[in-house]
Amino acid sequence: MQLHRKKRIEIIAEAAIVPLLVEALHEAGASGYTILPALSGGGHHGAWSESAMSSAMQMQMILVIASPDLAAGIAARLQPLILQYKAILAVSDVEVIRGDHFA
Amino acid sequence: MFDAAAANLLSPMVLFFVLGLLAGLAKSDLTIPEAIAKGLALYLMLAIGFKGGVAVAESGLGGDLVGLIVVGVALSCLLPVLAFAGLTGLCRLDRVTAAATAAHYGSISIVTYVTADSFLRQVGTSFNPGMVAVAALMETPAIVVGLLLARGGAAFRGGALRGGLWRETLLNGSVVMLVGSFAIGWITGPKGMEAVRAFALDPMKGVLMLFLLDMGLVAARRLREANKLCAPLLLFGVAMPLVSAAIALTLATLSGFAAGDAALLATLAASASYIAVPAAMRLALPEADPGIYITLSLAVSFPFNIVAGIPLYLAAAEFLAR
Repeated sequence: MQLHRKKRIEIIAEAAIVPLLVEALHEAGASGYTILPALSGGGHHGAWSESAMSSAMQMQMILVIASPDLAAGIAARLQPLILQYKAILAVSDVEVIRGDHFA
Repeated sequence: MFDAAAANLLSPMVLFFVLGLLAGLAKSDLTIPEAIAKGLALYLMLAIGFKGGVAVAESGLGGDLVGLIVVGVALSCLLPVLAFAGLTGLCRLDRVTAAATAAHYGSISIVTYVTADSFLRQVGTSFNPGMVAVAALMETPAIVVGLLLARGGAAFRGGALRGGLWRETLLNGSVVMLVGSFAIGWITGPKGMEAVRAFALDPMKGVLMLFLLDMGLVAARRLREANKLCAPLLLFGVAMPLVSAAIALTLATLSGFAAGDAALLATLAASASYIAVPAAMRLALPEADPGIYITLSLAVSFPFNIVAGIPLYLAAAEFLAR
């Protein structure tokens, strides 16, 4: 069995812009994505938790796996949103089976 | 008036809110799971909307309703301007955060409305059942005004973001639920109510109790962040509801509305959104500091309205109606 090298992109962003990010991912050519909930956290803007009533205080995580070239393109595409809103984007190395499954 | 204040303070709803506040301030780990809280909120909107629609089907719209809607929407447009004027320069607040916060005070809190509705029924004051439609219509104009205050004319230029925002505000879950339930209640009328009363009517007070418990917990946790807010801002959180209520009561008296309707209008004017408007503001005005507007609306104005405001506005409305 062979493992293929890909890039794993994790975006943690406020719930308000997750639909915008997903749209941008489609436009950038990502083959798929997964959205995960985030329970609570804290940072530059203070602490927050999912039980805080408004989606204004909630964060979600988007997970994308892509080839290294596409990953760079995705990061560039998403950068304006990441900079404008409460969000972080991290790219790491990952190995997957079914290499051709990911764009 | 003190009877009314006592009746409000000793109602299970307000007592559970206070319990939540105290438990949260004492750092208890009591939590209502988020999905349940969302479910309770959906239920409250369904119940209050449906009940209002059925009542309108039974007794007609009532002559005052058009006037109430006009005054309500006017308040939703004008109060943010007033709030903006009050907030600008307060505690070195920047223009965008001031505008975003102002939008909250022009919009409404449906849970505050439901609590007021419950209170008015408890003390036996009648009101136009179409008021829930006024509440629904007062949610959105303030958001538009807030955007205008922040961005000027540029608020209406700019692409996809704008489309998403309009969909989010006009079709947001609470508006759809409220207006939809109202319409369905109106269509099905008393017969519809009889069929579902055990679900749509009877549990409402209990659900409100549980929801207010959660609100108390959330408000207390937010309040612990409030020490970052300077005293004048905290004062604004109490003063703005009072000023808004006063303006609403003045307009209501000049328009000749009944005391119950005037009290509800004042409550709507005094209440500030803490779910829909923050979400809209995060999307439209990301530079605005949510720590300010969420804390003010949720942890200062909401508790004030629930504990002290509602009976106060009713007492004032009854006084003016004489």
